[in-house]
Amino acid sequence: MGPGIEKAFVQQLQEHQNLIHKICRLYTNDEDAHKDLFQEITIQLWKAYPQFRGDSKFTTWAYRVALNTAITLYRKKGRTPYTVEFDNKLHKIDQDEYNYEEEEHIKQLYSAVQQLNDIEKALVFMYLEDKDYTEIAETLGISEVNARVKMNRIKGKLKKILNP
Amino acid sequence: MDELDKLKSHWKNSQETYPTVSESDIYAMLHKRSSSIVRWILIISIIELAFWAVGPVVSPYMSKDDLQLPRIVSVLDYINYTILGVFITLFYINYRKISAEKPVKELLRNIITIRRIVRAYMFYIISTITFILIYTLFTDLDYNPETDDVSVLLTGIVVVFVMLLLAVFIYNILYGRLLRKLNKNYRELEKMQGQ
Repeated sequence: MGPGIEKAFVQQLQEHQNLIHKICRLYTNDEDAHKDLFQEITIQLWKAYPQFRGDSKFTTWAYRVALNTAITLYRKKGRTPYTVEFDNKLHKIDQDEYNYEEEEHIKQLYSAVQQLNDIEKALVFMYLEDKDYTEIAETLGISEVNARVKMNRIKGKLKKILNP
Repeated sequence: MDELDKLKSHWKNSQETYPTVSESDIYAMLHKRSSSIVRWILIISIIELAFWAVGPVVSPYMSKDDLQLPRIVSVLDYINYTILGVFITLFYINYRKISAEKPVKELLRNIITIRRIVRAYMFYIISTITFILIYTLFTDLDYNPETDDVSVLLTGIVVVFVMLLLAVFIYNILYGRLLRKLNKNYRELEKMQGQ
């Protein structure tokens, strides 16, 4: 691929990098793993870029490749424990907008999502990104009904994790 | 408002403070080597196919008379070449299907299929070797009646047993670990489909 294509790709990825960070945030639990997954997603996006025809938005195409990388292709380098420091560092909450109690609750919610399996995390990500069930089902390769049922179960599971 | 909707409103409204990755960092990442599972599967599968293919490739250069191998080994050589060709073709066709743009379930299925193809080839080769060993063992017993039947038979059984044990060990430990995540996620999607 020529330098022009490379430049266009890098610019688009740089502009929409928060999307990739959000996925890394859900699938990793320390800073090194986050960087590692970010890099692998970037490589996979670049490899798949020739197939990106611009029929869909760059973000729609990118999140699908990124989710596939996180769920299927990414190979963790050893086990890493969940670290609260990382959580605080990467997930700072605007103090003007939230009080301490809310901040704690949001942290607990993220911590609960971290305990879900890879597929459940993908569903949560797409739900948080406001994707409709048709798109969620298409991305995962399941039926829309199954996606809805699973989403309701995840909600119940999160409630249980948060209120044991 | 359930828990996830609370998280959603935060997800949308909060100012995330992720470390910004610069354009030059992204450029550098593009030229780094992928450490994806598919790359590892590809490397391992090629090594494996090459390893198991070595037998049929080098065997024509060996003197069958010196090795006192039965005639059936020569016949199996030709069959092996054909089967190796079929497996390599199947491997290539399925490898080309792997794309990160596909739905998650399809991508998982394609990768698992690739592994199954290589595993099937390995089991075919092990079965062939086992067959030749057993065949040679009994032929040897027929032609050399003075041979100590029990010790030859026992040695043969031990060799076959060790080979099978080794194959199971490699598959369960090495590839089992590599594919654990894929299998787990695929099972999860299958389970969802069944609900």
